[in-house]
Amino acid sequence: MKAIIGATVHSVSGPVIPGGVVLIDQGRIVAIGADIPVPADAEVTRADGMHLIPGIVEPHCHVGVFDWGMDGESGKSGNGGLSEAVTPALDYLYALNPRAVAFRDAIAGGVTTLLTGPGSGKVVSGQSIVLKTAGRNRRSRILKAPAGVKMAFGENPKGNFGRRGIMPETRMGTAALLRNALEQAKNYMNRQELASKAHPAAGDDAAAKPSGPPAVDFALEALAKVLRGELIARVHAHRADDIMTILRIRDEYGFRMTLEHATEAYKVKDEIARRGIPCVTGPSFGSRDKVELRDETFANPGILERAGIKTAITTDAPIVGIEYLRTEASIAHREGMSAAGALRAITLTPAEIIGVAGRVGSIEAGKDADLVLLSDEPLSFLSRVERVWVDGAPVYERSTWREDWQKD
Amino acid sequence: MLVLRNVTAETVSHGTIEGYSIVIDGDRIVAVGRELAVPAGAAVLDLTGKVVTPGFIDAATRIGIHEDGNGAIGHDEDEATQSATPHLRAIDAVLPADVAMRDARNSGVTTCLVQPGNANVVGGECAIVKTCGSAAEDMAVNPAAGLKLSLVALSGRWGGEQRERSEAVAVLQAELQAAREYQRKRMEDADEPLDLKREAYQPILRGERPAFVHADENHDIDNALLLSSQWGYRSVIIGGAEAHLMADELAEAGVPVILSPTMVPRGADRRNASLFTPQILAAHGVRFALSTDHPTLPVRYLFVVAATAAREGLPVSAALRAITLAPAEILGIAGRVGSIDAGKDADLVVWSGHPFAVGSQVEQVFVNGQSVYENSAGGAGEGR
Repeated sequence: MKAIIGATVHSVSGPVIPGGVVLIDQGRIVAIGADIPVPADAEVTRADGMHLIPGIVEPHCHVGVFDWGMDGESGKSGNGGLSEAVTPALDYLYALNPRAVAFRDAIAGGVTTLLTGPGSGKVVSGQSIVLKTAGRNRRSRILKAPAGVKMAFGENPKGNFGRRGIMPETRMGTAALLRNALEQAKNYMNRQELASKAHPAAGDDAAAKPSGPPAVDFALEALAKVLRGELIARVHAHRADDIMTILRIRDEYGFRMTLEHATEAYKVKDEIARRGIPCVTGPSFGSRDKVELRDETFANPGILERAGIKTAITTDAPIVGIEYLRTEASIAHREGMSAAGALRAITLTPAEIIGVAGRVGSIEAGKDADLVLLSDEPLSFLSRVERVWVDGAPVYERSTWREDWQKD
Repeated sequence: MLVLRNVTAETVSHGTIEGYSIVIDGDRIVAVGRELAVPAGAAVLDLTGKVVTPGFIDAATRIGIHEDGNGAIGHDEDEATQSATPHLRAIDAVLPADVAMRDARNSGVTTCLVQPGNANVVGGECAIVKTCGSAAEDMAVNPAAGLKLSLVALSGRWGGEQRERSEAVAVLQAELQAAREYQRKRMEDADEPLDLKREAYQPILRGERPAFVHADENHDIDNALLLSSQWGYRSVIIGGAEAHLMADELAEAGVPVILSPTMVPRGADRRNASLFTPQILAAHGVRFALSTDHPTLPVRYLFVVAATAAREGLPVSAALRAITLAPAEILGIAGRVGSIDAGKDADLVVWSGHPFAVGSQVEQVFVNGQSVYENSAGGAGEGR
């Protein structure tokens, strides 16, 4: 049994508790409150004057998959080969290097859970995974795999394919490729359905039997999971027109989806709110290198919050260093998001969006003991990460932490 | 004439002073003090409860030459067709209407060094500009601030090929040798024609201007120091990802560093970038400034770079100095900008609270004594 005593506890799911107690056992939070009796044999961490928040959750990044020449699939773009623009079968679990340096950065920044996966170079690029940033090995750290199918609209797929004479060269082409792939998946599901209904009774004439189930196609299997609602579509879109195009396709086919980046979501907030689509915003900390980022603003998450949209914040690491996710929340707050909303936007909200809120994202009895102790208010620019626990195990302590260059 | 009264002044040069008055006449600060009489006919702006800082200085950017939101067609910083292009001038590509200029001044950044990129070895002449104006020459504090050199292997890609560190050094040595010989010939023979490329090296060889040398890894920094002492030019290091590993050498050489932000991803040459670099450099007596390296980190987040350094242990006053007076000194413009002192340009930022405090907003910005931004809503601005 471990006890963290005296910190201002920001549970995120409940009220802020000054001078709170959090009890941890077997890697889980077992109690949280102001007046919890602490067992005599508990290992106590005094945290008076400090602030305790849930482990931070990054809902969209490429950590361990690509890192511009350092880790993961070293030197790769995270898009795989670029001979075709629709590759839903690619499972990025197999691309993941769990020992990438960026995982250490994540821990030092208080990020304890992240969704990582393919880039946005294709219309449909593959499947993402959710894992802890610390733990024994890759298998033990996985929370959810697969955790959604990545799709992309706008400049990236166009730029990668069109100039080489491969579709899409246009936004129309991107939409058509996705519609076509979804239609094929629908047909595939129909043929499966037909085959399963047509169980021939013993002795039936073989000639009366329909053609049987379709040959297993892993690409169509992945999209069928999207259409059945088992996997969420994570759709990269910056401009408002790109957002409206994917919303139209979603209305036609009826799947669950998130908007990733959602740079101009503030321009079409009512359309997004009406459909209940969550937004993973950012990385507004990055530059407006592309034309489609021209109207980027850190006011976006605050505007979406006020429109009633479930809004998370991302670093899109390595676009922005993973350890700056909390700094991004501070800027979002400075630009108009509520303080509670900004803290939620990097903890419970992303946990809900990526489907792991049963395990992480808030300080509640029964959840994993992923905790971050801060020197000051969570959103202060001057607030330091002092300690981090993952599954109840201490993984970071500021006074003894060594950066890579400090190691012998 | 305008008097900003009752401000909490972060003067940078002489501490934090409450109940301060700042008198602006034309484009200059003409008087500062606690017990100042308001000059006859002066307009008075009572700023009780507000904090005033000098305009921030971003000591390494590509603002205006790597245009925001215009895509590749607006990227004008890398003339990588040739290995050395010393005769290029950043001032010739600065777009005053770049939206990043608006972002800069609206977030309190009033002066920037604009540097050619890192794709070739000698990028061209850097410029220092104010972030407000309609013509680059009017915005320039110094249109020829020093020559941009790059020794970083990873980004070297001139002549259509990826290049290596040793090639970069060879190019630089050959260029400097040719520049010296050219100068000797010019001295000996009045008919030797002017050569813009060779001429461009003379100010650094004469010690009139520094070389701004992009170097990140420890051996790149060491190379920069070696070449600088061999050829007798002054260097300012830009980048400095491993400057903390070279702190003694930098201190001994008296070479200042303009640090790139740690928010940028760790590419292979930034593997050892550290949050602790600013305080390590401070402890070793190395002069340094903090920068965004815009567009690497957008210029509007210069305050976050400084606040992050303060979070990790640099004193708050030193962090503020690292984006005001320290870069002014390193860039050689401290006579004009970088602190709240009489005689300096009236580049001032009015804040609702200390710039590093989480809810603080920029309320008004003055450049050359002119109000260039006013956040009348008093809250977060949309579309900034």
